[in-house]
Amino acid sequence: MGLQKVGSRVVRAVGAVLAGLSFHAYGEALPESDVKAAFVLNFIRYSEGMQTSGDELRVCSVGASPLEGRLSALTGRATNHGTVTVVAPTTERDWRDCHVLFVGSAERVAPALTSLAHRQVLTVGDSAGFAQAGGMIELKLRAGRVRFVVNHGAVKQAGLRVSSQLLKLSDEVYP
Amino acid sequence: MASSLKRRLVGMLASQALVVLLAAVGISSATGIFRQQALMREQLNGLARVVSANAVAAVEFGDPVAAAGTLGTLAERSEVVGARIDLRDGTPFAQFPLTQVDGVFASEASKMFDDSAVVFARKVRVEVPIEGVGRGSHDGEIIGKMTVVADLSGMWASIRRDLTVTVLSCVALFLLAVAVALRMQRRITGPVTALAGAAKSVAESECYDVRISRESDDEVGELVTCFNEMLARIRERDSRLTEHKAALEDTVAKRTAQLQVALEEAQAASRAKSEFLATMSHEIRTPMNGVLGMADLMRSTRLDDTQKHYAEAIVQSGRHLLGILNDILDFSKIESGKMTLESVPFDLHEVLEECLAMFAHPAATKGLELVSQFSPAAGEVSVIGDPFRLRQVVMNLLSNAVKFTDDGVVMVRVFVYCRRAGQVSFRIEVADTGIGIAQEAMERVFQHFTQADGSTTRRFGGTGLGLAICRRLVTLMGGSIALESEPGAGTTFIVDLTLPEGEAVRTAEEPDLSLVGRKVLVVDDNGINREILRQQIESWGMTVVDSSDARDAMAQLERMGTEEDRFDLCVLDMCMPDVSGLELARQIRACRRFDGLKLVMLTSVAEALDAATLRSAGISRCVSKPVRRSDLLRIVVSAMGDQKEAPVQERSSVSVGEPLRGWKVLLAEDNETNQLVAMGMLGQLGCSVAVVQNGQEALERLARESFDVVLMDCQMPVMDGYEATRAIRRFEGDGGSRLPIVALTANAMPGDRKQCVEAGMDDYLAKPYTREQLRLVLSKWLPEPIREPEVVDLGVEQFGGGSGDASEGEEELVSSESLRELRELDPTGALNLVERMLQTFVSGTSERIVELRDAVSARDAEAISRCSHWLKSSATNLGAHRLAEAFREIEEQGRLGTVDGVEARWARAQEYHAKVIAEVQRLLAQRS
Repeated sequence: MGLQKVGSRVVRAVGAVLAGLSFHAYGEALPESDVKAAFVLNFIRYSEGMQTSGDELRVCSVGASPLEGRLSALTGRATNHGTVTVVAPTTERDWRDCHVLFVGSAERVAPALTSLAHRQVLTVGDSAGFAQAGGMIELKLRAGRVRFVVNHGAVKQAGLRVSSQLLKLSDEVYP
Repeated sequence: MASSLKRRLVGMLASQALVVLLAAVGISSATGIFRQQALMREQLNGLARVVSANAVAAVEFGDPVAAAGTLGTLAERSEVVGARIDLRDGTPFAQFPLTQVDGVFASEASKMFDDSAVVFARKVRVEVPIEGVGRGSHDGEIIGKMTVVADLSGMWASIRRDLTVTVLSCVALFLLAVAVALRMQRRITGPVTALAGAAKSVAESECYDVRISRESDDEVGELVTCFNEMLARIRERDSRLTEHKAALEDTVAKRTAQLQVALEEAQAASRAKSEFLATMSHEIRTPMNGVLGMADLMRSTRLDDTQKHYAEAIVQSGRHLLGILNDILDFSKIESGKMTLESVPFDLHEVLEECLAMFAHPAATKGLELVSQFSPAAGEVSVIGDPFRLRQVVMNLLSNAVKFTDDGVVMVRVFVYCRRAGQVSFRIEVADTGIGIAQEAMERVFQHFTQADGSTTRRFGGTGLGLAICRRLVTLMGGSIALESEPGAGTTFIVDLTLPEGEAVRTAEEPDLSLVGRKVLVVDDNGINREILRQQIESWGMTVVDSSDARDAMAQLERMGTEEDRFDLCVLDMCMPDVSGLELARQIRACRRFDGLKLVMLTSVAEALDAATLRSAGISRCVSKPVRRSDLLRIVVSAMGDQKEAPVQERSSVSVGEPLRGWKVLLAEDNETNQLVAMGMLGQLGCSVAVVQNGQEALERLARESFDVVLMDCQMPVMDGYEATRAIRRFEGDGGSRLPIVALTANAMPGDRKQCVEAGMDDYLAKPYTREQLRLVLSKWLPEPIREPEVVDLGVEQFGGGSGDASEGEEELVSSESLRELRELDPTGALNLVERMLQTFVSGTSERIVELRDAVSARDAEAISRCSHWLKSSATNLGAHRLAEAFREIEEQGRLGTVDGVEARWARAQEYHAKVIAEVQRLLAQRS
């Protein structure tokens, strides 16, 4: 009797796990970096005000191999601002030519944000406290899932606009 | 009918409303459903699109929770039962409500809700694509699909509500429409029904005063107006008809009255005509009797040739006149339909023989052979009809035949060709060898007042009524008359009749047994006569041998010489060429061998033989042609019964040797002239006569004396002949002897004969009659026939004529001629005719003379005229011609009313009268 009880509980637990897995399969199916890269692309799509010229949207990456190189895979993807080109500038000045700046390492957050102040460049980072530091969109993990936070004040300060939908999906919005 | 019209009208309106309402319901329901669905579709689609747009980012970011939250906004719509987002590869991404089982989204559970058509499913789904954003030129990329499932129960419920409301409204509207229709129908059918009711009541009551009020101006109103007009017209017509009918009835009544009057007038006129005819007949016949009777009597007196000739002329003219009179009377009787035929049984042969007998003399005087042939020859042919009228027809035909034939034969043939079912059909043919009738005149001769042509009228005279009367009489008898003729070769008249067969009118001729087997030799040159004689004689059982001339006859007699074979009788024709009958008789008598042979001579009337001649020729009997069968039989029987050598003359069956016997005859007659005529004739016939003035006297006389026969005038004062006869018959009773009464009448109207017979009279003699007719009638009723009188020589001289005293140059006072006539009427003097006449004159005139004298002195013209008229007649009757002349002059003056100088005439007349009276007295004295 006891054994049976234990057995049924196990089965139930397994079932529940399986059921949960299947339910969230989509979110967990991709590696974290791929999801973050897709999120960057979506951020571009749901934002406006980047000063692009021609049909090129330059996405600059700061840090060593940001998103395990997955960011570069975005090159060639079409957006409403133009085709994505992922670059890794070597100088700080080069960042100014970017339309989107992804900061992949915590130590480089402050100099990047400082050099790009008042520049119409969308800044995205995945280090903790990025948004607090004045970055515009911060990627983070919560409960195993990739989530994000929007610093709406920084966006507006830079003369950019993000979609209300993005705001709605964000975990937190800093004014 | 009205209810039917009403029902139909309401039904029509209601069904119309129903159709319209049903169509409206259908259309509104359909459009309602369509619109509601379209609205619902629009809403659902819009909603889905909005929600999907809101869910795009969630899908892009792979945030099913956010997506589910977005889907949750659909819960606002109650009809939405579920929503789901599928990714592009079909992976379910998010759904609402989270707890909903998958079955909701199965395609079987719901119907795609798109634009295509109305969907009647309860659950529908709407699918919208989820398009990615921010992809530059690749915007619109499908990244997923959103499905919304909705439950339309609410919509259907709403539709049902709407429908219910609509249907209920329709029902209400329909009821309203019916109600309206009922109201409207009443407006239309009301007048029609009223009209129909009115028409029906008019038809039932026939009262055309009904009027229907007009309530509308439509066709029904017009109909009402027309109906009213029609009624008015009918009423008008009706009243006109009634008026017309009344007028018509009036007219008819008036016409009927007029016709009645006209009819009565016509009947009165017809009666007057008949009475006039009867009167005229009587009035004419009475003097005709005098004329003919006297003339007849005069002929039998001694006359010189001229006088005889004149007398003959009088008789002929009188008879002719009588014939014309009879013709006219007959014709008018037939024309007015008053001719009635008797129905009495009679013997056809007898009637025809009588006719033949009457024409024997005229035929003989013209030298014509008159022959007859009857078939069957023997036995009587008794029929029922009018013998008098049949005789008249045959006599008329015979008279024509004799009149229009100058030489040759007149032949009468009768043959019965059919006897069946009590009817006898026979044909009478009268053929002559005369002048004939032309083809074109054949039909005309039967028309009245017409003869064959104008010239014959001149040559032969006659009224031309004879054949017309014949034809009408024959037609009345139900027969037909026709003629065959060839001009110059003669004429044959053919009468066909069918009459009922009668009982035997007399006992059938029973041939004397003594005649059977006897042998007869007939000698006649005429083959037809020979044949007729043979047939007649053979019918009595005798054997006949005929011979055409004397030589052959002698040879026949010689041949039969033996006792057994010898002839018993020889019938000779007087007139034969070469050797006459008389000569043959002498030859026969010359042979003593033929002593036992009886000889009978046939002579014509014209060739009468005296008894001495007959006796010398040894002839037993003599009979004149044409021979009547009954006469011939009687002659033959009597000849056979005679002892030999006892020849007597027979003339028309009258034995010369008959002893004279004075039959007593009573004559009842009021007219003096007729008395004298009858008395004269009877006297000549050897009868004694008693004369009475009327029936009453006759009865008285009969009570005292007995008579052999009575001659009864029908019309007499005091008591007429009919009454007297009835009295006599009553007196006689049933038994005892019956006194023969013969009617004398001047009436020739129909029914006379019948009336006479009904009164009990035995025979009928129409005035005027001849002595011969009188003789024949009397012979019929007297026990023995009367012989024909010889011409009597009365020797007027022995009575002395009045002329004896007549001086030369002066007319005799009383005509000797007149006296002689009177004497001849009374040859034996038994009646004292002359004396009575003279005495009547003396006594009668002396009274009248006194009267006349008084009249003259009184100068009374009327009385003078009357008295002198009477005196004139008396003087004329006596033969005092000068006296009559004198009275005539006075009468003339009296009638003219001029009495001046009448005294001188009166004086002369008086003088004559005195002389005549003196003469009469002298004669009377001489007579006594």
